[in-house]
Amino acid sequence: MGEPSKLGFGARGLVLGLGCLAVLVPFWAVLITSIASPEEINRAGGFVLWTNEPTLDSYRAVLSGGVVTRALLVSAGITAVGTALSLVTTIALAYALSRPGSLLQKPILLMTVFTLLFNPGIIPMYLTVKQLGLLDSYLALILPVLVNAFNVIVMRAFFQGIPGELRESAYIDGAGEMRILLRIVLPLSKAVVSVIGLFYAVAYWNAFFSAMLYLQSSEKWPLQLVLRTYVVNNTPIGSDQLSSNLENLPPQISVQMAILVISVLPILGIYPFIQKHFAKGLMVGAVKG
Amino acid sequence: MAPTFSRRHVLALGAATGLAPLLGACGDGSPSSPNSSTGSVKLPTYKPVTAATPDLAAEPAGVSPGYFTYPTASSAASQPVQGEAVTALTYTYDPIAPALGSNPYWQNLNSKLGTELKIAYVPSTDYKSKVATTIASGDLPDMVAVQGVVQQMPAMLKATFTDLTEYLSGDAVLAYPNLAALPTDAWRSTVYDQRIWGIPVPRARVGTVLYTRADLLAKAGLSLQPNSWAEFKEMAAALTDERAGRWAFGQIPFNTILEMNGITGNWPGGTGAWQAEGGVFTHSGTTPQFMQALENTVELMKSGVMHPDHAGAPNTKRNAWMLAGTTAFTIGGYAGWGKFYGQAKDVPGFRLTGMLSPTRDGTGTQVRTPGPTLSSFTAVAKTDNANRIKQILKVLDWLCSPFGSSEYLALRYGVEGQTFNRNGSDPTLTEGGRSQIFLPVRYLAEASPVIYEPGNRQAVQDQHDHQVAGVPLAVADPTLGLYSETAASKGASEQQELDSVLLEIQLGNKPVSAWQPAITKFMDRVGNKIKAEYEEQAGG
Repeated sequence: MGEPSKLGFGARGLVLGLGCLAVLVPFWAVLITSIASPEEINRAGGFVLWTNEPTLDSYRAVLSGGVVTRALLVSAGITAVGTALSLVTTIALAYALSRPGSLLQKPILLMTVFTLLFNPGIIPMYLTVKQLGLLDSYLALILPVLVNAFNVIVMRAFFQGIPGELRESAYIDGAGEMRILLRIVLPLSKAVVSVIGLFYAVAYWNAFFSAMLYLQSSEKWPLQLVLRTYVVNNTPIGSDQLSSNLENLPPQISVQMAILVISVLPILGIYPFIQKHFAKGLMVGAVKG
Repeated sequence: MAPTFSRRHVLALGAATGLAPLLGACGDGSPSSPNSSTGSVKLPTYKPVTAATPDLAAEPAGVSPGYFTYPTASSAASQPVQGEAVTALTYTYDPIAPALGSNPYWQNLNSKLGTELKIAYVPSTDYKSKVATTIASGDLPDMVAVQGVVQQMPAMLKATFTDLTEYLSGDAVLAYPNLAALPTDAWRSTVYDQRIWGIPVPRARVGTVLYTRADLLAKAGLSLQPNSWAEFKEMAAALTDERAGRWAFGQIPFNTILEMNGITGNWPGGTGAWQAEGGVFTHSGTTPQFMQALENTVELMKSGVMHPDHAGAPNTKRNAWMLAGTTAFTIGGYAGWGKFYGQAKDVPGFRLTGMLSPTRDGTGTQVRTPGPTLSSFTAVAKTDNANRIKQILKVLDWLCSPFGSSEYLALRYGVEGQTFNRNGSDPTLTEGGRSQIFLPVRYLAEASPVIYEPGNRQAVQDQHDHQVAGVPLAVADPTLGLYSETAASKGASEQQELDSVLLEIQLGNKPVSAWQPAITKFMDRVGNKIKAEYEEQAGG
């Protein structure tokens, strides 16, 4: 492979540039539509790519009343606590399962894999949550999904890939299993931990269905469920239902795009910091699995 | 930690788990439900209440009264309800409201009502799963909004909710004057196995509207009401100018074309497709008129009057096209009418009317598919405590206070000076009030709809005109008050298949002749059984 010719260089640039545009334009359209004025949206009959009269009305409409701000805090809390708990349990389980000779390794592994294949369904889940007294509690959003079998398998595969000699030498130096895990294995596993952490965080951040089922008081709702009431409920203008006084809200599409921006921002903010681990972490799990 | 089940519990669970496959059973917002025979139960006596004389009368029967301005509030007959807190589960089509602590509207409502109202609610799209799990858990609030029809509906109701017949049947309802003012047709949809199971949340019977940009038609020099299929086509062609990026329709006006051919029904979904004559039920899909309507649709599509992106466009987009003048029509439920004015406040000259379906050749009787009688009904969790039941009914009665009463003002607008201000006599919500009134009390119980568009006389007049012209044309739905187990349990999936064939034909991907085998298959699999079930109940 020699140096590409100028033409080849230009062509590659063009293709890559178009590829970037294909990704960026929708984001741009979402952002601009969320701040465009009603007239511009009416004129375009949908998405807007440029606005001369930017307005934050849609954001104001969504954020007024304090409901969304509160939900944002709830979501952040659930995501932080949930991700931390999930990581601790997943790492513990995956490490135990990666060590040959752990107590009941095979049956536990089988049980874990079993949950990958068979889902309990809504009503049994609900009854279990109810019997545990978790209804209307934030724990109901975390405990039922605390450990994800797929993540355990990926992490276990990563741990198995760490040379046994490292562990053995630590063992000879007098380290116990706990110390080996914390001092040897985990520092070597930053990639997989950050990826699995991101998986968990995104799942907690996006969860709305369990919140809808388990949380009775709407003031406890996380962001996604609150935003959902704006998105899905704002749509059926053509259905047979009345909606209270929505006439004062900015155009639906603009409100929806504002919601999209609000809900995507936090994840977009975190992703760049974890991204460097992302490809590596996944690949390792995949190849050595 | 094993859950314990009572017998009733298991029955409810069975009925509740049956909800899942039926999510699509009633289509979007078309909860008009076939029930079991209403034969022997005496429906609640109808006795209208008005707190204020309307500007446009509620005539002929079924038309909603119209008000140009908000009447000076007077109190209706109802008294505050005493007693312990009442809990409720319902759905909402709005964003969520601030919690009680930071919601003066809700606090005011509770103090006026005299009883604390604790409402749990979820978005309408998720409501079926919420109800299913709640019923399965056996942990019901005092009131539950029941939407649509589910498998084993009568058994589920019997196992889970209180039979309200003795409290509401016949003249017994007169103890609750606002409940007695709810329309009889709406009550019909709350009856299963000849018992009354709840309080209907009534809807105007106008049904689906072909919303028309009257200002665009006027500009093009067109009549707002074509009188035949030929005139309809001419009008559509005149409104289309592909080069200027304008089309008549953003959506296939299939229901209008059906009505033009003399048959009723809302497609996709097929609600209102059953017709009855002399006790014999016919599915309109099997009639030659339906084939004719398909031919007409294909013809209209070929004439290029449809927006090129119409297939798969969501309602929001179609409505935006209409508001932008890209199309001259949009199709939607009547209840959405008022919302267009707010969205079109920047559209100069905007005027919205509803177009009726002409007859095919301009002679004979026009027909119209009626809308659902109710949005849902609110049932009371099973209890033997008569005093508690009466208290709950009083709460519901209070929530049904008529337009113009001071209760209605508290229900819709809240506290003067805090959640709303007056513009003349018209209440206008404040910034805070706007989100506070999202509390979905109106999806538990509300009075019959009225037409009221503050500061927009023309809008009130146009809606009233459309009702006056359209309501008398409505062909009664013969399945109202009948319940078909086959329709509830197996109808949805078969209907979906039928809908997809219909769409393929409309889009020109399949010939019109593809309909006959599809409808025959539908009838063989479920249609004939549904027909027999309806006929048996109607006859018996």
